[in-house]
Amino acid sequence: MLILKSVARRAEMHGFEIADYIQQISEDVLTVEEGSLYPALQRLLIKGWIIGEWGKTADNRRARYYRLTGTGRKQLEDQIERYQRVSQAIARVIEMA
Amino acid sequence: MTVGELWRRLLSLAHRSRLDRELEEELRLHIELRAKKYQEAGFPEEEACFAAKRQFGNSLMLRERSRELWAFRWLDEMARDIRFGARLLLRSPLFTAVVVLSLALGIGSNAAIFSIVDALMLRQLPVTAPDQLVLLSQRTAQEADYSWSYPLYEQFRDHVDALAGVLCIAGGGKMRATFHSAVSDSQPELVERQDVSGSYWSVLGVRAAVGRMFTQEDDQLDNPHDVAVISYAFWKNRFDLDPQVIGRTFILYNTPFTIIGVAPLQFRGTRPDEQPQIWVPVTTRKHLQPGFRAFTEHGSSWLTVIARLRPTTTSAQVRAQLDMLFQVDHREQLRRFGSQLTPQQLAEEQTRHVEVESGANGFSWNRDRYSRSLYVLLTIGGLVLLIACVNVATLLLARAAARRKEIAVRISIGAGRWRLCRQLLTESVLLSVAAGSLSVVVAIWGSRMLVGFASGDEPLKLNLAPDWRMFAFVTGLVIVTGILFGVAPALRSTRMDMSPVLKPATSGILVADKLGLRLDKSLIVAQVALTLLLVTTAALFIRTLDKLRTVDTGFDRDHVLLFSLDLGPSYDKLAVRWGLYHRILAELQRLPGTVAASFSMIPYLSHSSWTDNLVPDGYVRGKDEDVECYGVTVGPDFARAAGLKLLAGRDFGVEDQPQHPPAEPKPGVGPQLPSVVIVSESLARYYFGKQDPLGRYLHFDAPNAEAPQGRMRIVGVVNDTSYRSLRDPMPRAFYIPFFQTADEFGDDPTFFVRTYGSPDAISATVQRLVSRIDARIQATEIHTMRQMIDRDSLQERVLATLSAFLSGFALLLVSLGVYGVTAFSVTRRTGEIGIRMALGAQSGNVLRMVLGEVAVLVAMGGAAGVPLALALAGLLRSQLFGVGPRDPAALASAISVMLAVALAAAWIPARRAARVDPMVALRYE
Repeated sequence: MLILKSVARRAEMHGFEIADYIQQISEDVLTVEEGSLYPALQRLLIKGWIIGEWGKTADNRRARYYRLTGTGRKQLEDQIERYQRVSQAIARVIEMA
Repeated sequence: MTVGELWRRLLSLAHRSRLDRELEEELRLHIELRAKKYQEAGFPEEEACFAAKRQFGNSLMLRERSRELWAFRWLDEMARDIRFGARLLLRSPLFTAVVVLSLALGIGSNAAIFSIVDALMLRQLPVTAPDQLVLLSQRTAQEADYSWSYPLYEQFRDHVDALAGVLCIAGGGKMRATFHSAVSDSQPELVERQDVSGSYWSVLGVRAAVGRMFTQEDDQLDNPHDVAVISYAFWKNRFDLDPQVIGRTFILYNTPFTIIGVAPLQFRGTRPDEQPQIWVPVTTRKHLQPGFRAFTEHGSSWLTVIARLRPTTTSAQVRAQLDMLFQVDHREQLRRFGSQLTPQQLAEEQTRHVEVESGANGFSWNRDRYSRSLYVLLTIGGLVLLIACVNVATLLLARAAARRKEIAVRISIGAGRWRLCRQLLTESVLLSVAAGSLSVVVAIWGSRMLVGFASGDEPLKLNLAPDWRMFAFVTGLVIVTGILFGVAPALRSTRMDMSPVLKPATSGILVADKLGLRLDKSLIVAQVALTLLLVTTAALFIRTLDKLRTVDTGFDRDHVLLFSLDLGPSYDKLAVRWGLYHRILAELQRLPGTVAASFSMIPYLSHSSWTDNLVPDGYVRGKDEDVECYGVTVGPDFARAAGLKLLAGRDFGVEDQPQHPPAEPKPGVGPQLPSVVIVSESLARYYFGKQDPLGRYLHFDAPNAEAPQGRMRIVGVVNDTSYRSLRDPMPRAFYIPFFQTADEFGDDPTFFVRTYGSPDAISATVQRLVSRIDARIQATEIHTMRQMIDRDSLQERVLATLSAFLSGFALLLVSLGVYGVTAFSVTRRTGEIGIRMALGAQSGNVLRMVLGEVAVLVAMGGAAGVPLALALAGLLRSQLFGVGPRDPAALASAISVMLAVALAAAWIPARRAARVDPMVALRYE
C-alpha cells in the first residue's frame, strides 16, 4: 500500500525514488532492507496495478519509472479505506480501554 | 488469478532473460544512487558503496524471488521433469521402443477403427445447418426400411408444412458417358451417377462452386430437363478445373445432358461411402430408362428421403404429419394386397409407421450393415489397448524396481512423494505422447488398409482424412493410457520403505518384494484373462468364416463364371433383347471347356429376392400358414449351368423356348404364367411329401386382377440352394423359364457359364465374345461364383482377420509380460534355486517348477477369462454363423494357444533357472 501510495503521489517514480520517499516520509521508522522493495514492485507489476516504463533520470541514467494504472488506483483507494476502518476500530478499542 | 495477470505471466515466459536483465539494471542503479547519496553525505567512496549494498540486502536472492513471482513454478518443474524423463528414456532405448511401439500399435489400431466409425457414422454433412436434416424411415416391430415410393415422396414434398423442404435420392451407379468437345467426342467412359430430386441442392443449402445447381424447375415429371451437376473432384480430374465446362454436353445412353454447375469442393454427396461424379434430376430416368414405371407405383420403394425441419418445428410434429399422409397410402396398399399376406404378416404391416431420425450425417446402407462389426472391432481394439497398458505397467514396475535406489535416495534427501510421483507420471505421459504421435501414422495407414480390405471388389469411398474427432479420440486415448499404465507403478515405487533398499543386501537370500511380485503376477493374470477373451472371439470368427466358406450352397461354387450385360438404348425392346440372349447363350455353349451356359434374373447371393405365395392346385391353405416361396426366372439349361442336381424330371430345354415373345399383358389383366416350373426339393417335399411331384400344377395364391394368370406344371425337381445370402436358411424355391414370361419379372440377366476347368480362364474370352456379337454392348461385373461367396462373407472375413491380428498382437504382449516377470523372478531367486540344487534338485525339477508357476498363472487367468468369454460371447451371436457363441472347440483352442504361448515365453528364463550352477549362485552371495 505504501508503495502504491508513493507511486500515486507523483506521476512517475523509479525504484530508488520510491525507497527514498518511503524512508523520508516515514521518518526512517519503516526502513527495511531496501532491496525487498523490488520483489514487491514485481508483484504489483504482475497484478497489473502499476506499469513500468524505461526513461532517463536527471543525470541521464536509464531507470524504470513506475506509474499507477486504473486498477491500481482503485486498489489503493480500497486499501486506504479498509486500513482506515481497521485503524479507527483499533483506535476506538484503545480509547474505550 | 485474473486473465490479465495470466497473460502478463505468459508473456514473461517469452522474454525471461530480458526481464532478468532489466531487474538487474534496476538493482544496480539503486545501489549506485544510494552509494552516491552516502558519498554526498561525506562517506568515503568505498565505505559508501559497502553501506549501500548492506542497506540493500542480498541482491541475488531478491532476483531469485522476483523470478519466482513471475514464472509458474510448476511449469518450470514440469519442463525439468520432461528433460530429465526424456534423458532417462533415451538411456534405455530398447525399453522405450517396446513401450512406445506396443502403445502406438494399440492406440493406432483403435484410432484406425474409430476413423471408419467417424467417416461412416459421425461426420456431419458439409451442408447448411445439418442438424435440421432428418432421415425418414418406415418401421414395423421387426424391421426398419429407409426406402420410399415416388408418390409418397411427392406427398411429403407438397403437403407437410412442418418441413422447410424434402429431397430424395435414388440409386445411380456407373454408366458410360461420352463427352462432347469442340474437336471430337471422347471415348465412352464410366462415370458414377446419382439421381436426386430437383430440391436436393436447395434443401441441403449447397451452392454451386461454378455455374448453377438444378432446381425443382428442372425436375418436373412431365418435362424433365436433361441437365447435370458434376462433383468438384470430377471437375478437377477430368476437366482440369476448366470454367468452360459449364454448357458442355455428354451422352448418357442416347440422352444428351448439359453440365450446368459444379458442386463445391467439400461436398461429396449425402452418402458417406459413395462419391458420385455426376448428379442428374431423378425424373430424367424417364429418358434414361424408357418404360421406367416406378414414378407412379405406390408399391415400388426405391428412394432415400431426407427432409429439413423448419427451425420452429420439432421432429415429433413432423413425424405426426408425415405419418398421417403415410397411413392413408399404406392402408390403401393393404386393402389391395393385404389378402396375400398371412395374418402374422398383416398384423406386422398394421404396425408400420413413419420414423424420423437425424439426417445430419447422411445415409448409408453400409451403416447398418457394418455398425455392429465396427463396434465389435472397437471393443476388441479397446481390450487390446488395455492389455498393452497392463503390459507397459508391468514393464514400468520392473523398471521401477531397478530404480529403487535412485528413488530411495531422492526420498531420503527430502523429495516429496507427490513431486516424485509427478516425475514418474511425466515419464509415462512422455511415453504415451510419443506413442500417440506415432499412432496417428499407424491409424491413417491402418484405416486405409482396413477400408481397402473391407471393400472387396466394390470400393467403399469413405472420407478418411483425419478430422478433429479423430485427434480428440487419439488425445483422449493418450491421456487415459498414460494415466492407466503410469499411476500404479508411480504410486507403488514411491510408497516403499527405503531403509532396506539402501542397505546393502545382507541376508543370503534376497527378501523378495512380496507386494511387488504379487502385483506383477496379478497384472499377468489380468492380461491372460483379457487375451483369452480376445483369442476366443477370434477363434469364433475364424470358425464362422470357415463354416461360411465350406457351407453347402447347393450350386457349383468352383466352376461358374458370372457376368451381366451393359446394354445400350438399342436394346430397349424386349423382343430385341430376346434375340440377343439367345445368340449369346448359343455362342457361350460353343466355347471350348464350357459345360453349359444359362442366365438368371436373380443370381444367387445377390441379397435380392422375389417372393410369392405359390400353392398346388386345390390346396387349402391353413389360417396362419406361410406359403411364401422364392422364385427365380432363368434361361434354358439352368440346372446344368449352375451345377444343381436334378433329382427328378428335366431341365428347361428347347421345348420351353417359344420362338417369339408372348404379347405384352393387357392393362388390368395379369401376365400369363409360363406353362412349366422346376421346384426345389424342399418345396416338393412340403406340398407333396413322398408323392411324385412331377406333372402336378402350381399357381400363385393371389386373388387380384394384376397377379399372374394361369398355372404351371412341375417338370423337374432340383436340390435346395442358398438364395439371398449364405447365412439365410435354404428356402422353398421355384424356377420359371424366362422365355415363357411376358412380364419381365425383373430383366437384367446374370449369365452363368459353367466350365470344366477354372472359370477365371474364360473371362477374357467371354468379354471378347460379347463385343464380337455387338460392339455397342459389353460384359460387365464379371465374377466367379467363388468371388460371390467371398463377397457375401466379406464382413466375416474382415472380422476374422482383424480379430486374429489383434489377438495375435495381444498374445505377443502377454508373452512379453510373462517373459519379463518370469525372468525377473528367476533372477531374484537365483540364490534359492542354487540352494535347491545343492540339496539335490535336478535341473528338470527346476524347469518344471518355473514352468509350473507360469501354468498356474495361466490357469488363474483362464479361471477369470473363460467365464468372461462365455458371458460376453452371447453378444456376438448375430455375427456368428454355424457356431454357437459358446463353441467348445473355439474355447479349447483359445486355451491351448494361450497356454502354449505363455509356456514358450517362460521357456528361456526357465532354462536359465535350470542351468543355475549352485556353486556359482551361492558363492555370489
